[in-house]
Amino acid sequence: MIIEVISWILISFGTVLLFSASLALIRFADPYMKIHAGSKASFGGAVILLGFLLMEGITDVTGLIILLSVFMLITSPVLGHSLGRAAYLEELCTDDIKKISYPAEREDGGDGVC
Amino acid sequence: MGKGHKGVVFMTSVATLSLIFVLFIVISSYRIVVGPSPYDRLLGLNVVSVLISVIFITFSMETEMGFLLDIALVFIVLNFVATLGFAKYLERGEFR
Repeated sequence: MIIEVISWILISFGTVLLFSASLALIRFADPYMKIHAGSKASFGGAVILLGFLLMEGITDVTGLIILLSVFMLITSPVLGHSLGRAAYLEELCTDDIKKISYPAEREDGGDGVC
Repeated sequence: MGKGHKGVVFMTSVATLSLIFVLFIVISSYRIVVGPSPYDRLLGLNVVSVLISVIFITFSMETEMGFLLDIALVFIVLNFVATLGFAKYLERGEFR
């Protein structure tokens, strides 16, 4: 009984994480913020998988669920890093970053995306 | 997997959860359609793929069909490879 309650709490937490990732995709301003928030969606999926794993117990699909969870946790930071690096090398929306890091190199006017 | 230990409450809850994930897909698809830069569209596609995979998993837990987990795993792997390839293409300007 207590394990079932814990698993439902984990599933609810993962759903909240997925909802915040979806909301951040339509609310945040520049691509780096969206990449930061969108990388958390896979963590929400992994938490939901952990909840289902606790609810099911040891069955014949336990190894597959663990493999899916580990793969979600591994691939999401790689994708976030790759997308963020590609956006930064294209110098997309880097005026704000330059304002924070190097205030003298701040240019006037954005490129319409930010 | 055990037979018959899942009641109506569990199946209704998991079906409601799947509907909630479909709503999240609709929310995330906004960024695919009107994303100003390609990275926004790729990120929206990534989030939608994770949500589709989670829907596969919840449906597999509801109906005890184990092969849907294989489909979810292949979906995640293909999403990873495709997004990485597109990011490398956008970074370098050509496939290498």
